[in-house]
Amino acid sequence: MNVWRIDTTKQTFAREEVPSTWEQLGGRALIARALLDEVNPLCDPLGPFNKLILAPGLLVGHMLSSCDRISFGGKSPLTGGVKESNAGGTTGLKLVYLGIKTLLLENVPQDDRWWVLYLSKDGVKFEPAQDLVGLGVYATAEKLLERYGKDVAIALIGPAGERRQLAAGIQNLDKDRVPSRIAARGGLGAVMGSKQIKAIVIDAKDGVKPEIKDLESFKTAQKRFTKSLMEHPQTKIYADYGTNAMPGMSDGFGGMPTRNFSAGHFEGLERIRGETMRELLLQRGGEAETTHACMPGCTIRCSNVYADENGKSIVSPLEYETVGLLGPNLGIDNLDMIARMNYEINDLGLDTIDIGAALGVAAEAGLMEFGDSNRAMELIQEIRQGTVLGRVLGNGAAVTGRAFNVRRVPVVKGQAMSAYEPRAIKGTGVTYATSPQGADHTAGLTIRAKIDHLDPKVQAEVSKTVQINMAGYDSLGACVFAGNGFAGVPETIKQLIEARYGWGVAENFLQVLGKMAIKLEREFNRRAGFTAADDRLPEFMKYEPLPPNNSVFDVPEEDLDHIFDQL
Amino acid sequence: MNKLEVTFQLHTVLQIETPNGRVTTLQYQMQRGQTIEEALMALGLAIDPEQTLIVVNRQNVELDYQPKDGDVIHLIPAIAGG
Repeated sequence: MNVWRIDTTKQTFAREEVPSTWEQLGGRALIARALLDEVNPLCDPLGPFNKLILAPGLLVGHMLSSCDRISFGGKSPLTGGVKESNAGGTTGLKLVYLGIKTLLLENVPQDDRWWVLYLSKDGVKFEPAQDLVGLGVYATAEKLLERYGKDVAIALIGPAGERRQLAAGIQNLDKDRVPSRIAARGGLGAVMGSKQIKAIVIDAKDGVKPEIKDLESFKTAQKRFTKSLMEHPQTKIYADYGTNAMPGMSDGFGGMPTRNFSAGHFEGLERIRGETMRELLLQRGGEAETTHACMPGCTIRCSNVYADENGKSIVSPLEYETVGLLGPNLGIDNLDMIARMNYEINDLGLDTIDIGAALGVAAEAGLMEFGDSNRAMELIQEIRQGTVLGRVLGNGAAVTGRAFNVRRVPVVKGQAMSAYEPRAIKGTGVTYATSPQGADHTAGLTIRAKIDHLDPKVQAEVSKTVQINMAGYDSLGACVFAGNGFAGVPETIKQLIEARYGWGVAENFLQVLGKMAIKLEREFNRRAGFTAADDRLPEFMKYEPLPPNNSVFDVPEEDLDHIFDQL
Repeated sequence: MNKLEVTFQLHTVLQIETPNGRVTTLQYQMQRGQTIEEALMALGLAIDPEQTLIVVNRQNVELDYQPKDGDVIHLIPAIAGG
């Protein structure tokens, strides 16, 4: 494996040896290490000194179920701090087939020409991309697949990334070549746009599967992990309902963000929940699929294809966070309209969470009525047209709140919260507040814990444990849901890593990785100027009671300040 | 009053498919002092307590919880993430 370093000004490429301190890191932990080693934390995220980093997790490359995720990273233009955002699809797998431990995109071009980066075993070529400028991700992917063949992986941006919008993500092809797997959070699409790269095409047809030092042990551990994963009850739930199994549970705790985080129960819950969605998709048939894998070899298959009443696909997948932020958060209970908005936001290359939150803030500012899905769609079209209003909304909830003087803005470190209300699920509030990533649904959810979610005293410990584990999984390239399999046979993590690489690693290697990632990320943020003031929820959540629990966020500030003292 | 009326709200895989549609709630009349565990046995509803959240009035409760009249008892196969 090598480091591939690309200079976007000089259009040069170098294959380098992996530094020894990077060797045993992958995904999120490797990004944190590389950022600290190579990126000035005070740099302009969209300027020449920031880097866009691609890093497959340590277990990527073997079609181990749900463990082929790709991490993207850099200094975030949205939060101003460290950023790692990961996605499924095929990008990670194909990068590893080319022997890429990590890919670093450096510098910015001195003119405004756009490029496709074509990666193959021979190295990197810059190919003109002027014909793709302004195109949405779906049309872009189609053209690139025609040009480069059906077997490539692609990471690409939409018009929002081209315009350096702060909520822009980086899309990746799923196993059916749909550009639907987005590393959505923190504006990394804008970082890619700042380097004038419309797409990275990975052609691994002459690549090779990575070597496994001890194949027998690897296979034994793989079998035990896969069995544990398939037997875990949550796996079946996600196969049947997808992540949209969540609304009933969130709402059951009074934690469903409703009408711009002003209530925790949504009266239209029955019309948007996963049980209803599944029934609808089974009735509609055609292209509709209630279960679908985003990456080859995944046995969970939590993705889906949401189809209209004629069985024609509207969007794939329709996920809980999107349903939550574009549904209850906007007072909208129409799944078809939520799916159509999801498609448009995807096509623009934007994060549905931050855009959903921005629309909620816009509704509060009087730009739409809650519940008016047609108006919500018009606002999304403003983003596509690049109007002044659209440019505000495309920068996410924090900028929208500033522009329209809204006090109730659900963000931490400038990044929008996902669909778990922190005044009802306070442990997740601790995660939102203290994760170096900003408010993030993948950083450590606590809703599953059998605790009193309203008791402020017990939340920090629960949040800390899951944050460490999640940072570990993000470094392995494992989907959060693969964690259910590993939880049953935790020793298989050590076994897989040792069999794959021939290293000796600690029994608790997952936590070692997770702690290291968080420690390095916090150090990057500290050097970027972050203080305890950045580890707080928005102030309104401290004094505005959230119905129906009528609770406020009252986890002691010292718990937030000291949560990672013992990493 | 020794009798009280409760509703079990079934989530995801606990919902029951029948020829007449999906059963999402069950009404149940129980004796005061009876626990959720006893009510579930009487209803023939098998749940894995390790993997199921029992939520009443937006709070986690245990199988030995004794419902009050009018309680809505959510039986939620535990999941997290989207």
